[in-house]
Amino acid sequence: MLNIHPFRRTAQVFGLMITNIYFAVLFKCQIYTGVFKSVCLPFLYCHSCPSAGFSCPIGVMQHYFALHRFPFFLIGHLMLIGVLIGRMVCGWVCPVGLLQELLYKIRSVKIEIPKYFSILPYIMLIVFVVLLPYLTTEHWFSKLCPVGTIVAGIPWVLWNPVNPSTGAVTIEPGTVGVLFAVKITIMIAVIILFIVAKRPFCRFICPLGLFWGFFNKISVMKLEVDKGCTKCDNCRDICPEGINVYMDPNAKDCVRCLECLRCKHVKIVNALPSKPLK
Amino acid sequence: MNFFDARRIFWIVVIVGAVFTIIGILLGNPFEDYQAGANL
Repeated sequence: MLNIHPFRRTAQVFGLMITNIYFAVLFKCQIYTGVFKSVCLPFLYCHSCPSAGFSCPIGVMQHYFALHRFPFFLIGHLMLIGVLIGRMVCGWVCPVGLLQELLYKIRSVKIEIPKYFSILPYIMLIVFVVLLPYLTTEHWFSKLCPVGTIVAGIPWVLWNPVNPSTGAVTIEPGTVGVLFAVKITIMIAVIILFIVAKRPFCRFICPLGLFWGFFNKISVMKLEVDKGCTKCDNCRDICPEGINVYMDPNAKDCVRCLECLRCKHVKIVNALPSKPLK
Repeated sequence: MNFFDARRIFWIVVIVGAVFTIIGILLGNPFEDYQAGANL
């Protein structure tokens, strides 16, 4: 029996810290634009966050499509990470995953979101990250992204510092309008979902999670359930995504948190794939 | 061996990923493009 939870929580906190590494924003009052902002994180986190030190892959992806260019390097190196570890970054370092898991601990009514909502990440990816930016040259996913609202929109509006290089406030009066109200509404709805459902952002919104999910079945690192499994459903209770591990140990929703290794019948397998895809 | 054999798909993804990465690097400094993306 392996309790991986303390290691994973430590890795998640490390992920949160490394993401928000730009403390100098307190003095410079502008987003960081230096060399580290040239590096894309392997998880979704708004690069307009005041303390963000790196870029968001989804933000960069839609920016490329808005420029009518294909993000070869971004997609290529994400694919190479995906074939090695599948969706593991979602479970181990993504700060949004950490936020969802902490908020789900709040005692409240818990709900099971119907499976058919899993069509939503496809809409997010195809419509809001690819098609709309391509057709309108606007960053539609960023305009509505609840994570962007939490870590960038609200902090900037509340802080609204005077930019020392221009002498002007960061958010001009009158620029906070209907769009911001829409963003706040979406964010509140999503935060309520974080409290009542298991990692809803990962399963029903995140386009990057959808992208990573494709790799779970073919990645080198996989999970396997042995024949001794009694189908007691403990794995489902432990799983932050609520997956029945014995039914599909490499489900696309699995974030490879490895919490289910607490069960002696679940094992990590590191090998090239050999079975036909289901 | 059917086309959806996982091992075959694995190697296709590895090759496509590597080719995309190389094309991305050859098209220019990808990090400069990321920089542009970061300064929305």
